[in-house]
Amino acid sequence: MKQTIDPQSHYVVNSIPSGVDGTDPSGGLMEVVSGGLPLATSTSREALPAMSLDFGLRARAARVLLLGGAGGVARRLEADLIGVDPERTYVPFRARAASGFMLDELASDLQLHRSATRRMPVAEHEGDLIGLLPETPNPVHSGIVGIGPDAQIDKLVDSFQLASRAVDAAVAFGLIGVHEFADLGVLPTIVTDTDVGDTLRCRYLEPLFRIDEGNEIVAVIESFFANGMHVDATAAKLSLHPNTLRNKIARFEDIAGVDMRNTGEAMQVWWALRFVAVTDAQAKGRSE
Amino acid sequence: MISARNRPEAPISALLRTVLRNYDDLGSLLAEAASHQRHPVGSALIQDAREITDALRASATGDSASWSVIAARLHDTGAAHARSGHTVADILIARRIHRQVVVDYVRKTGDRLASTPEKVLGAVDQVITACNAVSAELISGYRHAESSPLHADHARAVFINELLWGALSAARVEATARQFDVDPDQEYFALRARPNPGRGLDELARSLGFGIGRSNGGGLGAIVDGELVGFLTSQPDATSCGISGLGPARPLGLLHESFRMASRALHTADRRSLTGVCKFGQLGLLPAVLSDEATGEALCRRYLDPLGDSAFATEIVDTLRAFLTHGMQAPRTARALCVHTNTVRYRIAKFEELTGASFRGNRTAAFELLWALEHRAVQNAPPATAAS
Repeated sequence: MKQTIDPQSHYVVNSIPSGVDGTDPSGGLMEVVSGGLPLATSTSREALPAMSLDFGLRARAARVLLLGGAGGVARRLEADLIGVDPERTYVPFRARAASGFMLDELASDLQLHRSATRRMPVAEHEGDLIGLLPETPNPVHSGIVGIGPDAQIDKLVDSFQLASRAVDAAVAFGLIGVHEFADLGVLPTIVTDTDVGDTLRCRYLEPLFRIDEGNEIVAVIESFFANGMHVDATAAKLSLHPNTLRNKIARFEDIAGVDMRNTGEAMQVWWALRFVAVTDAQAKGRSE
Repeated sequence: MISARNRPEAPISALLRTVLRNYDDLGSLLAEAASHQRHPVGSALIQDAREITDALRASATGDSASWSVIAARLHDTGAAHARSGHTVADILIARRIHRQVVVDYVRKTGDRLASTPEKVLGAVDQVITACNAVSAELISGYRHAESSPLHADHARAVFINELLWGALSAARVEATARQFDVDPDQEYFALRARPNPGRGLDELARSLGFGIGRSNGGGLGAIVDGELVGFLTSQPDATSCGISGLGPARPLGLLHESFRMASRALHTADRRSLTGVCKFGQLGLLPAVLSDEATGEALCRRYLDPLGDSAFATEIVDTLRAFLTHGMQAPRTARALCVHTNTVRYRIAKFEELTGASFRGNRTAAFELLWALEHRAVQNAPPATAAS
């Protein structure tokens, strides 16, 4: 089920008893604090005392292994330190809390406190939770999780970039839960390639917005795609006679200069509609 | 001018000799550093490892004659950079990256050879001295060209370069445009073009409407790194002299957007062996297919790899292509392929069985398959420039 997601959500990091120095190995906070997962943040200095040494290592390892900039030797050292096996593959993830949820709830949803994952690299980065998992996580309801292809530590940076693209695409399209990059098809490209999206919008949709029935035709074409481009199914859904629908599609083809029977051209129209949906949602999110 | 004072002087160490022997490694590292540069001007200036290694060799021999030859070449290179529209800042950034790559390589080689820290420091010192000498000669050549009668051309090239890469503030765009008699209130199409083998850049420029760097309607053009770049008030006619990428019309202040798309159009044209003037707006999704390798690979894994590599797989792929082209209608596809309709249906069913995809109920699978086929076609075809 789809839920509305506020991409601008801010997250709260768990509090921790005062006086604990996160850099002190005798801090004794090797376990999850106050029912959630203690999260390191690269942006929030006041949250740093909340980190146990254990988590400090986890956060540092996550950044070294996922964000790049370190050499192969440094990556292997970090992996050794945290107990990540350089010979096996891991699943990098980037997770964003859904509106109304906090990041530690999402961490709990991802079961990051379970014994199998308790020492896996994890950190907060730019308001998201990033890290590695031994395998693809179970479905979550408290956020959106982008997953990159499983990879050994030397390939995790590239894979993590795909996890980031996956979470951005899923958020843009209002999807909730766990999404592997490979399963999102062309959606990540629709989000990132604004040159192409905007060009197709101008080419196929802009002419419609200049005529009175433009919005109605756009709604018909949207429904046509949603119904697998089957005339009868779309007509039934819209309570139209099939011939009326055919006339509206023909009118669209005429105005936009497109042949909807050509799969390549139909795909460009579909892309333009998806792009507009994403940019409209983003503009709405910004105005709110 | 060429000056003996720039000559690097120091006996070369064994460590540096090892570095110089591994010229190919250094070249690869510089190419890698260049590929990470967002600004292609920097990228073009970084790639050549020869300048610094030659300077180090001259330092090793202490041969003034040898250094004079190198310095003259550097002087000419600096002048060429000026005429190509590079800025001094471009050159200095490139030199800094160049120096860092070589210094890092010296350090790593020192580690590998277990050299003492003193020896490594000494070698690094020599590299920095040689780099400074190279920079001094490049800048000297650049300044010399700048003070020559060609300066007007150079200044125009700098303006075009900065405009197309979005390096100018709005105020400077307007002020500088007026200096060159360019109407700042008009919209322009950015262009990036490359001559066909055997054709010259001047010939290409003339065929696209540029006479002595200026187009008929008030646009400007320049030669930068072996390509014609510029902007025009109207879309040019197709030419057989070369291949061009054309961006959409944009106001001067946003011309960098148009140029980015012109560059993508040129790249697409190159990879798909298109000719003439390729307008970004008419290339549909091709530029996106080319840019997004990761998506293409993921879709090929899902839709094409399960088919295997047999002759039957090729038949299925050919049938799928025709199926998508002919409105996903089996009878029309069968007629186009001169096979029975049931043969088409069987091959489509086999595709659905092997991949788990379904064309019933939604068109997403068809769109993604089309993307995968385009991606595979691009992967299998070498770039036109490489082929030529």
